[in-house]
Amino acid sequence: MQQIKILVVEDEWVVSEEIKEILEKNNFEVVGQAADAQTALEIAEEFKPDIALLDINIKGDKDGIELAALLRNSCDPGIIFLTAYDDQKYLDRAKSVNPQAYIVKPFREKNIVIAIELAFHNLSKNDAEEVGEDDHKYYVLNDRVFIKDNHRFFKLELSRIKYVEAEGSYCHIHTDKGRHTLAINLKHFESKIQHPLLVRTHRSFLVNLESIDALEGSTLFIAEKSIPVSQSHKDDLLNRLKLI
Amino acid sequence: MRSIFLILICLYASLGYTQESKQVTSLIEKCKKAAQYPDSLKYYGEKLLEVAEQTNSDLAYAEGYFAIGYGYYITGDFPEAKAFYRKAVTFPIPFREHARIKRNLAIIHFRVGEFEQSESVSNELIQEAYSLGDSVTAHILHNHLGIIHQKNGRMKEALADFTLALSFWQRRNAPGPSIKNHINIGIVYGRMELDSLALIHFYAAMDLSREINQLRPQASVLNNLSTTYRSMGVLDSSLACIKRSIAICEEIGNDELLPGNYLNLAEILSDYGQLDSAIHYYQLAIRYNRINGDITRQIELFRGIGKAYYKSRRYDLAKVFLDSCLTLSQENEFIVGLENTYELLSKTFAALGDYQISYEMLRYSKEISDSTYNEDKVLAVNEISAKYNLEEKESVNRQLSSALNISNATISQQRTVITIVSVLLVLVICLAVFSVYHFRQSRSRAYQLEQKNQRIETLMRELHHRVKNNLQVISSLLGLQSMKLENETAQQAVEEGKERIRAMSLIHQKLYQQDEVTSLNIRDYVNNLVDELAQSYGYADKARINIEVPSVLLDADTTLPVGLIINELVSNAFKYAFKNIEQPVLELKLIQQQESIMLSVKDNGEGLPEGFSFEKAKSFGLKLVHLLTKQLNGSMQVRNSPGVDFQLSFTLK
Repeated sequence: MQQIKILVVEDEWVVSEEIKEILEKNNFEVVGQAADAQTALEIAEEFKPDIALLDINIKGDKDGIELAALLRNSCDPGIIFLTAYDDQKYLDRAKSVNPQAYIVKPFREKNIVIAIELAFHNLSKNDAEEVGEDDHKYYVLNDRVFIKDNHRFFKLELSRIKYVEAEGSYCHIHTDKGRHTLAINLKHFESKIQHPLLVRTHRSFLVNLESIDALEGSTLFIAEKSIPVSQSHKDDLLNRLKLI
Repeated sequence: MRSIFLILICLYASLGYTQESKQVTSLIEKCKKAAQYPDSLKYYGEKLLEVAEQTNSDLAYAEGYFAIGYGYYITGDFPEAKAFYRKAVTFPIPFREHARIKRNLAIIHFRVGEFEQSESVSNELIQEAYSLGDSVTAHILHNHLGIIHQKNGRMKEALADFTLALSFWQRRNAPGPSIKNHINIGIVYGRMELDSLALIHFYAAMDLSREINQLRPQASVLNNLSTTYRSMGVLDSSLACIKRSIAICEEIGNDELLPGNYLNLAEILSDYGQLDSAIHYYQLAIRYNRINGDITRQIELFRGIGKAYYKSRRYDLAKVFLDSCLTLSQENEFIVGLENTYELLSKTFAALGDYQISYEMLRYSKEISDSTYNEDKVLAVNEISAKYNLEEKESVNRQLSSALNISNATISQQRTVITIVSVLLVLVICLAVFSVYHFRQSRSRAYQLEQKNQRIETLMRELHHRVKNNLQVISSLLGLQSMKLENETAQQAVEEGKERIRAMSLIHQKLYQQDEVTSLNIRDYVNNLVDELAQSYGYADKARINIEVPSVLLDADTTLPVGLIINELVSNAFKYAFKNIEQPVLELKLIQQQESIMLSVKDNGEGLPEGFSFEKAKSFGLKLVHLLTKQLNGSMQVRNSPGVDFQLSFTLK
């Protein structure tokens, strides 16, 4: 699984650094720190962060709220405002860019982690939904799943999945980077994600069409792994394969 | 066994109590829902009074009397409504409710023409609102005060109040009240004959009402635009505006604005010389106005219809309406437009041939108007006094029957009159020029002062914001350093330092969130602070936290040590007191008696160890509490009860 990528925009470098350390301590990846909108946009363009933590009052001619609007049009990360401004005028302006969360300065470590989870929650509410209990939560978006596992957050890009194998109430997800196990059953997982390339081939298997190396009778191969194709799913699979 | 019995009784009593208070709340809810229906209002009001008598609930009494009063208000029985409101305001109830009732009392005084009482009630409420930090209520009342000033002809004061209110609502981004204030400022400028300024404000109001897509304010703006265009002599625009306004009122079924609209339409028609149509609309307006009983408008309407009758040479009818207009103005001590009434009466009596009364009326008119005096009127005085003298002369003539003597006497008399009038005229013009100059000066001074105040306020806000930003930097410095620490005790010490910075920062946040920039509401602050601490220590859901702090404004210098003391004591409780407690309870009380303040922080934890001494306590937190208590010139008492109970008392400087 991948780390969640975060961009920090704050013109007080001491504050920015503390945020970075807090984020890294909590297993997030800080892809860049910027003190102005221009630099922030360049970093965002290159690294496509999942979340942008933005101070409202930053250096340069654009403030954090304007920057948020520009980010929405580029890589569209989840927006969290981090600010000492909390009077109505700023909140009203900030609202216009639909941020996923706010953090008021001075912050606690906890506030930052909670705000990020809140951002996942608000993001997934727009697209799909969240699943699971407190310690194992999945925030499902169109092309990604944010996973909370024992207070740690991870990201899974659906297009990187090669295939998913069910085992009781767990499912093993195989990607190009290795295997991850989620505490959710396959049926549930499948019902939450809607990805055009992921197709059910068997009671216990979900397969990425683009990863299939060969198909022989009622067995398909992804690298060394042979995966059964049941009769009821075969026609659907062949139809979908013709399409790509 | 006996104690179980006692507990049962207590439980039963408290159950009864909550049921009663529920009954009161539900009745108040019903009153709110019945706000349009006088009979239901009176019925629920009576019910509330019954409950009040049984439970001795102040809130029930106040709301009961208010509901009945409001019922009378809707049916137009203002004196009765006033009597009930007066009873309602005497009960000690929460400020929000109190303010609502008192505001209505001010309105009703205004509606029956008791401007002075309305003004004093409003001023009282503004003071109360400011002292409790309720700037919304205060600014609603500034608007109301502005209206009173305006009706009394005190334009400068009216402008000051309206401008104050407008800038407040603009800051709050509240289009509704901003529209009202733009309209009111426009009306005042109109009265001051500064028509272009009036137009600017009316169009600002129009833009805002279109933005929020509301028809009623648009109708009101159009009505005022019509008046302004009329006074500028642009009758076509005036007529177009008023017709559109009437159309909107009829479309949305608004009877409230209609009398004013019909009045304006009638005045325009009268200007156009279409007197019969004008009289028709005056009559319509009078009929509609009876329903909502606006006395000042009634006066305007009587004057208008009197004028129209005068113009159409029906002098008897003119006299009847103008007389009623005069009586109403005198009864209500209403001076705006009074000089016009006298002038019209003077003309009417002149037309009826009664020159002596006509002259008297004109003299009254002249006495009242000083700043708007002009040459035309002097000429009229000249003319009528000549006629009056002629009459006198004729009677003298009859008595003395000596043509030569009389003509000489008359000539010299006329000369004297002309000299006196000329001297008067010069004096009056000087006075007028001086007062216009003085008025302009004071207006620009008021404007400059307002600007200056706003600048100071902005700077103070900016300052608090910077302080808060700097506190964040300090907090981050500590945070970064603590991450490098390996010793857990050291790490915890730094974390505690960060919490203290947060407690201080919250004060600055409160200071710039409100309008008052040097003192803050201790209730808001304490609630917020304890809430944050409870969340930080994970007790937000686990502990029962009772906070009893009144809504009192304290200056920032006092709040800082008080806030830090609360921060220490509450953190201590969360850290140490509740370790083995199943149902943690934290109580925080602040009692103010005149200048002295008592703060108590109490938990139901395990209590302090045997032989504990507050002065000799070794923990840094308690040492800090000791120091800050000294700073407040206060004293601290600690006892086990059986949990720890800290009691801080100090006197406000």
